[in-house]
Amino acid sequence: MTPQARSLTFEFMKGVWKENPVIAQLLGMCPVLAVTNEVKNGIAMSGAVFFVLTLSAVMISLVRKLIPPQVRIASYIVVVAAFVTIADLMLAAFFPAQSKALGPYVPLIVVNCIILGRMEAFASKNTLGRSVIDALGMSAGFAVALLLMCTVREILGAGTWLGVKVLGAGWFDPWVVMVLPPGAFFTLGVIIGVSNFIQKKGLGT
Amino acid sequence: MIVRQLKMVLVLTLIAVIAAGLLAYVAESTQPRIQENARRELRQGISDVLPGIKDYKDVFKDEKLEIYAGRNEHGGIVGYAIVRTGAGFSDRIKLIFGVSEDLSKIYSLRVLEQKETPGLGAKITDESTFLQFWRNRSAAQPIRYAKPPRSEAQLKENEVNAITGATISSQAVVDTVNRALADARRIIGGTS
Repeated sequence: MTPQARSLTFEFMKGVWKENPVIAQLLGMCPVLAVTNEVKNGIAMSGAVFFVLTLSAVMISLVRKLIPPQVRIASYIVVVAAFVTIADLMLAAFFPAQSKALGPYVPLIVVNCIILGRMEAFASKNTLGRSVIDALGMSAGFAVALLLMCTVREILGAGTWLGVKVLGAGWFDPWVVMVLPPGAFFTLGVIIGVSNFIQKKGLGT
Repeated sequence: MIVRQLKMVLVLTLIAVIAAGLLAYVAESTQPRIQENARRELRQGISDVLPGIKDYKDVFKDEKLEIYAGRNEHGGIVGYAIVRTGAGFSDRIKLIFGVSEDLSKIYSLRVLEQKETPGLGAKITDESTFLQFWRNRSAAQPIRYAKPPRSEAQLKENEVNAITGATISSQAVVDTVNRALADARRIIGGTS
């Protein structure tokens, strides 16, 4: 099957579900585990990845025929690093609180395998339009996975969602472990398990 | 062969130059806003711990310690706001507190930056379990923490309540404040 034979809807949806970067490909685990203790951090992180992934895909697919294969990875890294630095500066300028909370995880997007992976596997081989659709799908998949993680962890770990109390203070004692590193592994494991179960049963196709 | 190698070098150099130019532009244009954010945060912190001041001036600044003098509308110094960074349980804790002009009394304390354990040590940012006990403490003697926590009336004037389950974080804040007071006495004199 040549890539051109697939529909654009397929290119988008594969990122959200079948080839979801987090749940199916297990890429970019570092931010997934580290910043998902609060929903607002997850939103900021998803936004940053969306920005970097989409713009890098645009750049790379535009110049894909000019880049000699020997220096392609180096070129991707420079392009991705430039967009990450822009995202980092923008966050610091316009959302200082989120910038502080995300700390080193924004600069670390440079080496996030989701982005480098999409550049190598997709944007460098496909037209601009397809690359953008693919990047949007992957960003959406990343955002969905992150928000799932954040929602579970923040509700169980702090009793709040996006800072709003959802579980009553009187009867619910937050499970502190859920906002600590082990909670990230518990949540990710359960989410992957459930998604594998659904895929095996053939429900999600 | 040579042509291909030359192309390799040229393309990568070109990409790097364009990226560098773009970054220089973005850094230049976001700089004022980022600095303004930091200034606003500092001003907010100082007026939180020294209520009612009109403006402030810098007294001292180094890597770990910053001292600002808060002034009233006549320009007289009403107290100092001290920013100090100290070792916490998992990372550095940066806090700010207001003291009277003779450094004998702590008005109140705020935590600016911390990465303590959520739900335990991170309660050092919590008003009702921790920060409220720092209001109007005597700094004539070193601050101590009371463990287990007592009611406000039972605390001595230089005592604050520790957080249950987070003694190390509580201790870290107390130590940082005591160290900051000692530093400030040395720098300002503290006898006037």
